[in-house]
Amino acid sequence: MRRKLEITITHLYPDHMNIYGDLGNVIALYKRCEWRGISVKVEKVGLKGRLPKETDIYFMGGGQDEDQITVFRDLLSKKDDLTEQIEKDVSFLAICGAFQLLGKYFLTGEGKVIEGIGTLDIETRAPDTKVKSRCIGNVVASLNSEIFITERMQLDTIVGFENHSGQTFLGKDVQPLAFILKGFGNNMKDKTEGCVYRNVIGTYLHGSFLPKNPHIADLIILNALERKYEGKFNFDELDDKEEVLAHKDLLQRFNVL
Amino acid sequence: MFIISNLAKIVIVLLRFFRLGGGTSLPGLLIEKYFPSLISKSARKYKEIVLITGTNGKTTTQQLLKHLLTTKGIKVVSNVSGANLFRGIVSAILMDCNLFGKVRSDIAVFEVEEATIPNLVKYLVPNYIIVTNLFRDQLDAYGEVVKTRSYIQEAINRSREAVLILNSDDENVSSLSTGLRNKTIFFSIQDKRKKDIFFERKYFKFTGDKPRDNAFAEKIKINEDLSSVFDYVGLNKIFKNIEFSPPGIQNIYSAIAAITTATQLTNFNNKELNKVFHSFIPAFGRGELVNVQGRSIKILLIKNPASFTANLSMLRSKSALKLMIVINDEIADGRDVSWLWDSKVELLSEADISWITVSGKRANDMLLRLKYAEVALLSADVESNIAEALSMSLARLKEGETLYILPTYTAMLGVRKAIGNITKIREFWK
Repeated sequence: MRRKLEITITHLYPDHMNIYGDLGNVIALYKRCEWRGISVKVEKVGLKGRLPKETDIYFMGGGQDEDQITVFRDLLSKKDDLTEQIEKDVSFLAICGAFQLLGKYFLTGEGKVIEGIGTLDIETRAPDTKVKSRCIGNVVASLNSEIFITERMQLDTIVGFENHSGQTFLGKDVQPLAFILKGFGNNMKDKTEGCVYRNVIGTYLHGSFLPKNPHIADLIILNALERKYEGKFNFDELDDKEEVLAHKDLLQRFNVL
Repeated sequence: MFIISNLAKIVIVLLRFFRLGGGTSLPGLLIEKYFPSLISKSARKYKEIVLITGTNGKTTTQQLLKHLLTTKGIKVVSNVSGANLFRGIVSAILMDCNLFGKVRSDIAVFEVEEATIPNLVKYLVPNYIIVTNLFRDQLDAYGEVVKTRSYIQEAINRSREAVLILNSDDENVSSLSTGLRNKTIFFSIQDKRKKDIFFERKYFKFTGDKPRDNAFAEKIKINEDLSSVFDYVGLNKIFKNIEFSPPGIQNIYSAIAAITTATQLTNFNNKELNKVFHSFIPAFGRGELVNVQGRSIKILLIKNPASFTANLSMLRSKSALKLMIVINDEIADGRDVSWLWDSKVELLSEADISWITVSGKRANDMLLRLKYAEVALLSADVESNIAEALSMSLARLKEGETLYILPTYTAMLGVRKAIGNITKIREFWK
């Protein structure tokens, strides 16, 4: 008899870091567990809330500028706990603002340095206040084949929408999640998008990232299961017709097929 | 002014004649660019200027207020739907000027895009500023709620004489009056169904430093065709049994804001007001009923999570619901379709749905959203071409049945065109 699998998703700062459709990612993780018969629950941790001692997947989205500063101060108080769990391979999906906050520092447009919690070896600089440019628009990127066995995945690209002014540069301890085919990604220069460190995925693709990238959603769930139940898992494939259609619409639009 | 005004008018006439953009914004663009201060001179001649801003409900509020005032014989100038940037408003004023640059209307009622209003009040001095609500909107076009609010605050701070008419069910709006001496009237609805409205988290708290006047709707009833009946309780005025055709709870805010402003400007008795409301036809896409070959179509514009959620919340109680959802991602729709995931599409999971047609450039994104909301996909057809999707839907629709179409902005224009090819429908700028 198969044992009943359980997954806990911890949604960090759902009220403050939920700027634009970030909830879609939690919905995707939740449903894809549920559809496979994995028992799943979502716990929310807000400002002044305590991190759980044990969880399987952390999710944190982007926020409005003001909220991001509030959240950032709070997150600093959780730094040690969070870092410890990440080093023990807890899964973490960090989108946009959350991705930035996990880094070493954020240099504001006015030249002020905000020290990050430093879990990820990344640095983010806001453009000079005189620069009005923003990285905004649809994104298509090919997954980093050095860290993903892309031949075995049903899709080897990621698609989404980015909207950020911060320019993020990766250090040597993290690897790019993907390489840009259309859009900007981490910054306007080096064509990298997002990063991977242990079981942490950071990305600038906000909102409906996981629904249209079911292979990444499954990867996160699989990593979490393998860590929790210590073993290899081959879980049921789902019928991803609609996911793949929505994904390929963007590939087609930008002639990346 | 004389020459400019006439030049602009010639441009408008030519544009109209050749049907280019309905002649709505181009002349204003020229004035905005080269001679913005010329417009203040003409605008000063209006007895009253009312500016309406906020995320949702601007158009309905404007059209209703205009309708209320017009029936009292007041000449009203307004901008047409969608042309709510500086240039659109300037164009409307130009169109209202005679050959000597004098305005023809008594009162100006303009809907104003949120980021435009701080600049606009440098040239037009408003007597009234109505703020409908502050919802999360297309992030790529408008930015964050806090940012949007700061534009409106800036405009209000510059308008010391203006009476503020503010939605007090939305604290991000009511707090705009904090610390100001402006006369302020709050409007709200007294009904527990308002909890379904997607108000944004409170970024600002209203700290009342003096008592404000209140106007509200109560005893609200939503009819089978989604129109409403309610009582208005205002400043020393009560109007009973107002029938309002735009659908759902969310539109009643527009009615309350319009009545509150109109009763500041002129007088109505209950009978008159009922009659005026009775003859009000919603703006295109705001719940207007269109008849096509004996079948009814109701078009409900969706542009952000608040309007999508409000419409779904209203439709979920319908039996044998026939639905067409059309999602585009042009600039006017928002290029980013992430907002579909902020909308409570889950409301449909327990609705009695006969079938759904999904269309538009982002039809597959919508289909995916339905899948994750556990809405039965077996009943969904996908056709990205809007005209095709409409014919498919009409073919499935039996006589006497109603099709509800939820389109984004440019999708609405596509739907309008498709319907226009089947039947005759009035041009949207009239």
